[in-house]
Amino acid sequence: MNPNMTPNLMAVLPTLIIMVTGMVVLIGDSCLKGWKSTKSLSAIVTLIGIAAAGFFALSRITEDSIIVFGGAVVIDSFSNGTALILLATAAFATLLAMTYLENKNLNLGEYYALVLFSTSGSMLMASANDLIVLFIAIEILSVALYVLAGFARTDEKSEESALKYFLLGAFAAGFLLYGIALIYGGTAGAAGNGGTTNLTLISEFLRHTNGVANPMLMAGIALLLVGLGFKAGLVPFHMWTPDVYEGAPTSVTAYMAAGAKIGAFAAIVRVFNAFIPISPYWLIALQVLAVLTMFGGNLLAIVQENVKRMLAYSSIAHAGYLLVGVCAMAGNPRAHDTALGAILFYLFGYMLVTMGSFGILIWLSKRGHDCTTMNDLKGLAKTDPTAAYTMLIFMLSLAGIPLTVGFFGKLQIFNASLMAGQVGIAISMAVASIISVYYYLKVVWTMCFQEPDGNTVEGRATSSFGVNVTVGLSAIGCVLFGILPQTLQFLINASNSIMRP
Amino acid sequence: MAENAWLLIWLPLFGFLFNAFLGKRLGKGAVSVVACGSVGLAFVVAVLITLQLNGLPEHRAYAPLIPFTSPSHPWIDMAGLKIGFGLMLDPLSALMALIITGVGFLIHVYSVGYMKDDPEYARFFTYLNLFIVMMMLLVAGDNFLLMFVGWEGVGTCSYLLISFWYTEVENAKAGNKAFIVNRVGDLGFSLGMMTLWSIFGTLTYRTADGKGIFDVIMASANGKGLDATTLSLITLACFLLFVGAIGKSAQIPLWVWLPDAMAGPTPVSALIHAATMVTAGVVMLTRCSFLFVLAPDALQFVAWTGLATAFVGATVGLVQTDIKKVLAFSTVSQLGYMFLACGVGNFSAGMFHVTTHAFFKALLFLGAGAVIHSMLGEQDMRKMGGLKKRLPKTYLVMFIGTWAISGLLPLSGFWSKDEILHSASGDPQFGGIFYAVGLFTAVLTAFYMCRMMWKTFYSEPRFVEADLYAHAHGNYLDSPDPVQHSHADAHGTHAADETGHAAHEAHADGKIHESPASMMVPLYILAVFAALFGIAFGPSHAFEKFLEPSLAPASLSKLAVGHPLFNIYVGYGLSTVAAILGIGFAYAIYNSRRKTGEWFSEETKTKWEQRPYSPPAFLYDTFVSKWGFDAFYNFVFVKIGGVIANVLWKVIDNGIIDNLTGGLGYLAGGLGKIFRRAQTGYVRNYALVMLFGAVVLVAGMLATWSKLTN
Repeated sequence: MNPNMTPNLMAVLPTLIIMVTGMVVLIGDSCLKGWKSTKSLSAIVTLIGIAAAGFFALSRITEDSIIVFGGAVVIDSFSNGTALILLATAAFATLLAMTYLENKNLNLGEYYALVLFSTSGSMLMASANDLIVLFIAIEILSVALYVLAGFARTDEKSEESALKYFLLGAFAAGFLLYGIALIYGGTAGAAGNGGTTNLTLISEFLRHTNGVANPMLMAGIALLLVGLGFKAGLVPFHMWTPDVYEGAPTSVTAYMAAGAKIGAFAAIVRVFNAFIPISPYWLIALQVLAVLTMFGGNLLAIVQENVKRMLAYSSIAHAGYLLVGVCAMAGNPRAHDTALGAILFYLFGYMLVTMGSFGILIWLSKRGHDCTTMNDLKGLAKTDPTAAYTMLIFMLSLAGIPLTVGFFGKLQIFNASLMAGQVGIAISMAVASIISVYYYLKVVWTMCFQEPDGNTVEGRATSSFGVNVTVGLSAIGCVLFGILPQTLQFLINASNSIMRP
Repeated sequence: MAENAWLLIWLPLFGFLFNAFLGKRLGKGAVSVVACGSVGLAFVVAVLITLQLNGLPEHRAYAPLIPFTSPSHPWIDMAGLKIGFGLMLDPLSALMALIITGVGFLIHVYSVGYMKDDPEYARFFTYLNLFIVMMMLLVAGDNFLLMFVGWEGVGTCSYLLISFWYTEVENAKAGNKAFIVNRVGDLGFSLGMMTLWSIFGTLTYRTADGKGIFDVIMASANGKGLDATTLSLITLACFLLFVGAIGKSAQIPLWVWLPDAMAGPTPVSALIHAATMVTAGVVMLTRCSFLFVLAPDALQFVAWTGLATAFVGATVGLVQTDIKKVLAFSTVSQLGYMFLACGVGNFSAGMFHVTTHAFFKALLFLGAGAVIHSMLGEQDMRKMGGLKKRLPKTYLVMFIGTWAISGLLPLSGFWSKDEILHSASGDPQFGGIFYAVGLFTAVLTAFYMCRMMWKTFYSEPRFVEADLYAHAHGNYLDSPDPVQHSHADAHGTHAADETGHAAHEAHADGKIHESPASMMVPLYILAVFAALFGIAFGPSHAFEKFLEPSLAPASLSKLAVGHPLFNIYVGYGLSTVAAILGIGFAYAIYNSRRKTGEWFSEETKTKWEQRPYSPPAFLYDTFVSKWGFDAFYNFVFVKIGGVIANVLWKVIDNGIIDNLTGGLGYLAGGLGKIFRRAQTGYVRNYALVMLFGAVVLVAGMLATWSKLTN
């Protein structure tokens, strides 16, 4: 091996560990096919790999940024902070799956390998410093996710969702790639005679042009936004979300709702951070998307009867709130750091609550019957109070009620938005949040104030160690960080190292 | 030890959580041990901290309450709001910590006996432990927001405990009354807090870098002083904060909830509604002495409110027939004294009375509880009498308590009350009135307390013991009174538990017996403190010196300084005379009426009913009707307010707002349904929408570009 490669490889060590663990699980699982404990072993190896990667990411969280692989990858505390959130997502997705998959007769070791591969992809998205690397990272994430969405091979809905996701994903990838090509063209002269896809160079180039854009660049940014917006689930590129979330096995949905979105937002932050010198040109588009996404997601969530679909639309709305944070970051240098910290904090809180609430659905799922509809939750407070009141915590957090992590997430984004002087969009965010309270409380109302009937899930059917740990940890975290938000200060600080405009 | 001050909160918090989640499962033994043990250990911590205070710079220390927080890493630091989560340890918070955990511990132990047979034993101790947590936050938090958290927390616990036996509608109503009346005060407190925030930009009392509210005030006093606008804002804040104190400490006009609060179990009355929570207003004023001494107008208002409450409370106490109600109005009256002290700028005298009052009033309440316990739930003094012979131990502690509160040498109440009267007479403008009314109230105090003693202990019994027990045994199943219920139950089924207990023999014969040791021992300890605390720390001014570092220095004060009317020894003499006068009246009236225990015969009362406007009848009516406060509130807020609320509800809310919000909801749902149509499930449609979005986006971006470049 070329000795000069060592620092490069060391820098991306957490991602590397995840990838290697994925391969070990994949190969090990097929080698030990006959042994009955293979699946548990795969899960344990997965968790160990995640823990190791998490350890390295955490130990580097305060280090300065380093640019490796010839400028293609940047490792800084933002990427490490994001990596930590992503690793937690992967760990929860593993824990949630253990018994759930067995009950669905889907206990295949590939699940863990695929989760690991897609996690490595999203981790790479957070540290990509080059649009080509970003594209590759997105594909690593997506290909694994396509397979995961269709993981329930005998379930038509799951297959349908996988196919839809794949077709539309391919469509979006086209936009993304075309956008990258246009940006390369639009930055002609940035690197010698040619253009560039390197974010550092793009940023420098834009500063030298005194913040004046050209049409090709503008079109490129627009198409890039389509591609990234698809991954993040922004309206109107969100149409796949509810169908795929509903069809995929619940543990996969949980992973998709959190992991893919976190990766996508990390990428959006990275990319648009580089475009800040010309922010007046694209900020308005981003703001329009944010408002559309917030209201679209919330209004559609209101009319859902299926909890998984409702959560899908709610995840769209949350993408809207996050986009408000991105707008604040780009809108005003004063608000830049605050907004970045807010986005990371929000992502962390969102991840906890998403894993927790899908975890509850898994908790309540029986062999042969997934708990997915509102009817399943009727009067749950009477049949399984623990599940009902834990779900209550998650719903309150999603709605942003104080003493939950969701409140402080929203507060910070809101604050950043006001700091950036974007009063209008801050108000739309507040209004959208108020609308959202309706359907979150509708879940609470269904659980607590309705009488159980024949449909109600009785007792904890799939409750297992992994599910208990996931739900318990997310509920505790949700309340703990809602009371002591300062505990996450390291995440907020993590944003300080990202390149400033 | 100061750095371990978090134990003060976490120990009772542990007790709270333990009892809340495991109490019912693990049984009464575990609950008692954890509930009492956690508070007892907290008391040890409080003692250790107090002993170390002298060694600290400025007698003060900061102690973080939770990991990861410190003054530089506060609890909340977001959106311009910085709120710490730590304790400020200084003489004031240490003193209150000692009272709360010390007296609190004794009352916890007492409750073990008192609540022994209550089926909701674990719930009771859960609330009691939570109360200790909240009260500690209130007195020791290092900023106004934490004080407010505690303030609301103790209010909630008070509500929960007043209506502890919630199956009785009256109890639930009393809880509601306390909670709702306190809302008014709490609104004042929060407005005051916001005013302070707007002046100083922080809510922390003191910080190491001198940015706290009191630091800023001290610094400005050394510099060019505060400008007129700031001073008038501070005055406003003081008035608003005092509104909070009026609610919490049951002062006129928000005093009506405290007598009703006696619906709770007696240990609750002793702990919350006598020794600790109701004094929170005085503690808050003392904590804010830095602010109040800059606002002489507010202080004068405090003094008048206190004086009026002291007098009115005492007059109503004269005519009560329920033993707990006598003590409740006495508490209202004594709290008035404390505010009088604060109002004339002598905060340490106020706190001294808080302390002695905590001992003797807790003693009196617990003693009354022992009486009620022995009388199987009877609280009406008209049905008592002759208990001196039957309950000699209870009588002894009640005697000490009465002596102390009457302000007769040499027990505690004398020293603290005399100090208040002495400094009140020093008010340059109204010293004479303050002193005269205060002294007259002292006469009334001695009188109503002795009246209670005669009615309960000295007069002839107005019940037949055998009947009392027969009644209790026969009817306990449908008895409305849980105390009676549980007690009777004890005799019915748990008699074996008490084998060997001296009193057991007595009550087996159908006789009244003393309360168990777990109730009596706390009484003895409290009696010792009620007797000796005053003389130990009063005459030597040790208490004043101890508290001094927590108070605003005299140099800061904008109060006019006057001279007390009398030499301190003349004052001692006058106070003693007042107490003897009160006791003498009571002796003269009740000793000769031992048979009935009533001053006025039934005939006299009938005569008054016929001629309600004769002076004695009018006075009696005024006192019995609590000076008309309840009737007034009932008319204004319940009747007229009810009409207004009905209009708001039926016309404004149902008619206008519901239609408006309902319409919005309908609109939102309708929009959702329309959007939902686009969700066809066909990939081609989805792709089309994406394409459409992409086209619009590109077009929009290009349009923006052309707009910005031209």
